[in-house]
Parts: sequence; structure tokens; C-alpha cells
Amino acid sequence: MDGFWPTFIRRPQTPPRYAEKTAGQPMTSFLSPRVVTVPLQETPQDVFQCLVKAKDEVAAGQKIGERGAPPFVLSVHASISGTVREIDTLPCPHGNNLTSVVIESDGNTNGCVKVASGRGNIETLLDAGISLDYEKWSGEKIEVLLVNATEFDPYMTVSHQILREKPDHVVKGLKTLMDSFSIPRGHLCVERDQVSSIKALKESAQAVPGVNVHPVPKAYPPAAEPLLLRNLLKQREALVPNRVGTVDVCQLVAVSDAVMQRLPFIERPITVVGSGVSSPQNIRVRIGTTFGEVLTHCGGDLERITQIVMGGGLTGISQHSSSVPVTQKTTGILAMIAFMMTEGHHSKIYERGDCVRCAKCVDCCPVSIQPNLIAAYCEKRRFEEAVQNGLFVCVDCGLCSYVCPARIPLSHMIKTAKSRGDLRTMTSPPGVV
Amino acid sequence: MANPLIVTAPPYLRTGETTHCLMFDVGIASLPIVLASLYFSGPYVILVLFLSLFSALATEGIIQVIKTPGFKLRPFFYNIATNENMTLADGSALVTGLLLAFNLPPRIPFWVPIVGSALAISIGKHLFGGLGHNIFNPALFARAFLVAAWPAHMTSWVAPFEWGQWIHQLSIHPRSWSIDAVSTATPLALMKQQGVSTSWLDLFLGNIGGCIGEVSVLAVLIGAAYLLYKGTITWHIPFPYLGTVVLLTVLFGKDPVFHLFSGGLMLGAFFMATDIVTSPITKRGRILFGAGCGVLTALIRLFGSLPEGVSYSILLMNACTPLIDRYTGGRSKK
Repeated sequence: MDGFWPTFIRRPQTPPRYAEKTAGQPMTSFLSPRVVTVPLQETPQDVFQCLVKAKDEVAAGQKIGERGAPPFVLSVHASISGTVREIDTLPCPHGNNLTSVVIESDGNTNGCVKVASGRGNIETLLDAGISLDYEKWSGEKIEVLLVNATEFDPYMTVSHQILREKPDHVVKGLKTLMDSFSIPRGHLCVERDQVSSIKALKESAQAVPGVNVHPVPKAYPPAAEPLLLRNLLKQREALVPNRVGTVDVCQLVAVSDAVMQRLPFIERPITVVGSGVSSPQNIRVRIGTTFGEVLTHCGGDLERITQIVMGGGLTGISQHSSSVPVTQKTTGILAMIAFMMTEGHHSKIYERGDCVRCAKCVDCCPVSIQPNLIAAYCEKRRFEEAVQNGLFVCVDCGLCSYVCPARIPLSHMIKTAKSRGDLRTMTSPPGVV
Repeated sequence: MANPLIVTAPPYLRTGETTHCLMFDVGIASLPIVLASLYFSGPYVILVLFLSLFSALATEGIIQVIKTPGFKLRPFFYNIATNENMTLADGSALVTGLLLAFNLPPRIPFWVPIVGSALAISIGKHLFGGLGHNIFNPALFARAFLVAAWPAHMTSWVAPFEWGQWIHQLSIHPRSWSIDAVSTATPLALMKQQGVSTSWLDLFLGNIGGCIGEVSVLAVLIGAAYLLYKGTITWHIPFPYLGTVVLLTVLFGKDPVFHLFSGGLMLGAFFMATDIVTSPITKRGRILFGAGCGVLTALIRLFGSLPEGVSYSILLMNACTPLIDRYTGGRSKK
């Protein structure tokens, strides 16, 4: 019933940024899952090779497969020690089915097999299983390496926590990547209110030439990184997107660990929040731990949780099952218990109404398009006009749906239109941002 | 196996603010105006407000029932209670009735608010397609109609603190509707026709003749502060509007504070022009809209034959809203 009756309190046009409970809390660990599902592929089109078979004994950090074509063959590691139960095509949280190796734990959580030493940095990263855009970064001349360390999604605090706990690792990882791929500049964007992290990062980055730490006023969604770079560098046309590489904070820590301590990328921190878990926290988990196991560890009741989302509340992906694994790209899990719902999961209170042209969506859009207009064109199937008004400029941040008082699913309509194959050939006119 | 999970498109969070919240915000913001008009014009104002609101809600309900597919008279209340597209509860009819009552003189014959609200809802709003599709602000549309149809009733004002003399307005006998005994003129008409100026303090507090909602600038400003704080309206329309009026009156050598505080300018700028349905979407467009309203208001007041031009200027700019949206929106808006 939140917001159904008028209140005298001002409602902010952006969602609450931090969950009080997870922000600033030290990171915990959950490194002993019963079973893990390690995907061998990243997309269903990936070429891969499986190096184990069912009933094999594997150790944590042991190479169990590889994907990609030479010269950039990426290793995939077992994240716990145990027995391979099966190799099958299983659902993954990004919404597709991937060939995965299911490993049952033997209870031994100590130690892991280290990455072979004595080779170049790029080979070490490939051996550690860190999924970067190797082909593009080595082939073309990348000018800028951009790290978007801002957390756009509400409640997600994992980047902030990494920056707070390991500023040296982040800078070291960035420096390693810049050296390995000979990239002259690295830009690390942190939200302005993370004062202590910025101070620590600036101290670490002082000794490292080329690394710049930028306090930015607001958070940017991952898809809006070109916009972030444009605002950052105050130049419009000088940098084409091909000359920019983007990397995420967690990968930087993994890079640093791989080069310094020879550790494979088999665990990552994630944020677990939502009304469905009793103890929300930032937690380190093994890659491949199922969402259900993580949620149960954090005090969630799988019988009561009605919605599980990979990622945050604005840009995450809704899951149809709690058995999907944590992947290298999972930043967090949002588990919610819905209420006041009818049989078909429609809210009786908040029904979709007519657009009243309140312009809240236009005011909050980070890329300055008119979501209400584009969504109306998409609904009337006038896609050409939708594209002309900037359909493909949209960065899927979801803020328009968040603020809409008429409960129109604007971002859903725009996203559906964007996924139409026949619109790919149309390009936005030059006037659009 | 756990219970089936809900799979939806992002985002999974909502502000919780709904259309009727926006509408009721306007209702809350108009409370000080109601109290001020009650203080200056007496208890008959309550009756005018009630009749206007009742007529607006009744018209909305009737139209809603007619529009309901498969309507039969027998399940009349069932229709109202269960219809999914029930627009009676969204508060827009309430706001229209309230704003129309604010635009009426305090000693209006009892049937004028009833006719006005019915017209505002039926022709002003539902003829264009209902909430969100109307071109003109329904309350101002009805006011323009009433001024054109019954100019004598719409321009007979009563002096402040004349609480009596209202029982005749309830009579069905047309001869008893005139209010000559206690009549006065608005400050703008006094200025225009006789060159008499009114003190700023009286204008600010509302100690003048005028419509129900427009007399007290103080009350309007309190309501406007609430709306601005809640984010229901933004500064992009009212402040360019007021700024343009001040600029033009200074330019033509008139008293800007008098023009700011007199007539319906404050009410128009903060409550009428900011009507979300009939104002432009883009920020630049809203500033243009406000400035255009200001130019028209100043021109009508200074050079037109009418003493007051707020309602006509807002209606004219409402007509320009699709044009403004077209030329400020779309491609490279900011």
C-alpha cells in the first residue's frame, strides 16, 4: 500500500541508493556450498571444450574446461573441490541455457590450485579465467580504460565495499591491465559521496602514472558508460566508443589477485538484499553457487520468496528458478516477497492507467529522451518514429518505469521494441545524443 | 520445489506515487485557499465548492457508467464498484471541480457551479478522450464558457467581509440573483476603468473583491510552496510566467508588484498553468509555455479591453502545447 494514500513527504525521483544494512558492513564469506554449477560458456554461441567427465574428482581451482578460439583461450576452473556429478545444458541467470559442469562438494574448502607462473600477463589472465575483451583490446588501439565503480542499482553496494576494503588491489589491477595491453590512460569513476574510498584510491594512484580517480556526481548504469566518459572528458566527438575499454571493479581485483598471488577467478563478492532475506549483506561466494543456496545462507525462505532478481532493482534480470548459478558477472541478488497480489500476479491497487503527461519520465531520463512518446509510438507499432525519437539511445536504466505515476511499463515497452530484429538496420539520426 | 517465482521485466521497484496522489496533492495544496476565501467571503463559499465538486464527480460517474461496456441499469452500483477503468477515484474530477470553484465569484447563483463543472468534465475532458487526452484545462474551459454565457453573474463581485446577502443566491427566482447592495470591483477593473490603485498589503492578504481562489496571494503561495516541495509541479512554468509579467509591466512603466498580486495571476501560474495534462513535456517547452502565458497576460491586461487575461492566456497557450512539444522535444531536447 506504499504510496497509495497521499503523503506529506516528498518522494525522491530516484530510488533509495543504499540498503542501510549492507552499506558499510564488512564483507562476509560463504565458501562452502554443497554443489556448484559452473557454466563453461558465456553465451550459447561460444566455442568450448570440456576437460572433465562425470564422476571425476576435481580440486578447487583445477581447470575443467576452456572456451574461445586461439590465441585467446580462456580457462574455466572448478570453484570447489569435489566430484563432477554431470555435464549438462542448464539455465543461467542471464536468461539462456549454457553447458555447465555440476560439481558436488567433498567438504574440503582449504586451498586451491594456483595458476601456472612464469608466463606473460595476458596468458596469466587467460589462465585465471578472467573474461575480458582480449581480442578487441589487443587488436585495436584502446586509448582509455574506463572503470565505472558507481552503483546505479538501488541497494547494490558491492562496488563500494570493494573500493573501501581493497583500494590498492583495484589500482594495481587497473595498472596491470594498462601495462599488459599498453593503454595510456585509465579512468576510475567513483561516486562523490564515497569520500573515504576516493581518498584511499587517490593515495594509491599517486604513485601510478596514467591512473585518474574521478569523483562523479551521480551513478551511471553500465550501458551509459559512453555518456559517463563524455561527461568525464568534456569532449563530444574526440573519442569513438571503439577506443574505450570498460572493466568492472570486481574484475580488477581478480586481475590483481591473479598476477600477484596466482589465484584463479573462482570467487566473487555479491550483494544479497531484499525483503526476502533476513540478513542482507555483501558476501563472497564461489562462482557457480546456486542462488537458492546463497539466499538460504542469508536467511531467506525459498517457500516465501516470490521474486528473485539477478542484479539490482532497476536493471536486473528476473529469474524463473532459484537453481541458477552465480556467474562471474553477477553483482548481486535481490529477493523479494510480494504481497497484495491477485492470482495472475497483478496488483489490484496499482493498475495501469492513462498517461497524464506529468513529464516525470522525461525529467529523470539520464539520456534526455522522451520515454512516454517513444513507448506510445512502440505501442502503436510506429517503430520508425520511435527510432527517430531516440529508441536506440535508451540505456535501459528503468527509471522511467520507476517514476511513472500511471504505472505504465515504459522501459518494458521500449526494451521489447529494441529487441525487434527488423529495427536493427535503422539508425538513430545524427541529432540524437 | 519452492513456490513458482514471478518473472517480470525490470524495474522491480516503483516510487509508489500514483496519479491520484498527484491529484490529491492539488487538493491538499488548495486547503489554505479555501480557508482564506471562507474568511473573506463567508460560508456561502463552502456551498459553491460543494456544488462544484458534487457536480464534477456526478458527471464523471455518469459518463463512466455510460462508457462501461455492457452497462445495464440494474447493476448500477455494481458497475461503479467493480469497474476496472473506474476513473472516479483518480481525483481528476475533484481537482477540476475545485479549480472551477476557485474561478467563480463568491456570490455566484447556485446553479452556475453545477452547470460549469458538468461542462468542464463532459465537454472539456471526456469529449477529448478522458484523462490525459484533453487539450484545454477543463476548469478554464468551463470558466471561459461561463464568462461568455452569463457575463453579468461572472463579473459581479462582493466586498470582503460581507458574509451575508447569500440567501438570495439560492432562490430559483432570477430577480433575486443580483448583488448590487454590496458589490465592488476587482482591483484590476478599478485600475483599468477608474485609475484607482489598491494597497499592496490588501492585495497580498486578500482584502479585495475577486474570485474565490484568487483573492489571497498569501494562501496561494502557501499552497504553491507545498506543491513545489512535493514535486507535483516544477519551477519551469510558474516562475517564467511571473517573471515575464514583471518584465513586461516594468517595461511599459506600470507597477509590477500590483500586477503580480492582483487578479488570478498567482492562482493561474501555480495551479492552472501547471496542470500536468495540458502543459508541455520538455523542460525547455515548459519554460516557453510559461513565458508565452506571461506575454499574453501582460498584453491583455495592459492593452486589451478586458481587465484580466490569465485564463485566456493559459487557454491560448494550452492550444500551443502540442506545437511546443513538437519543436522542443524529440531529437535533441534538454
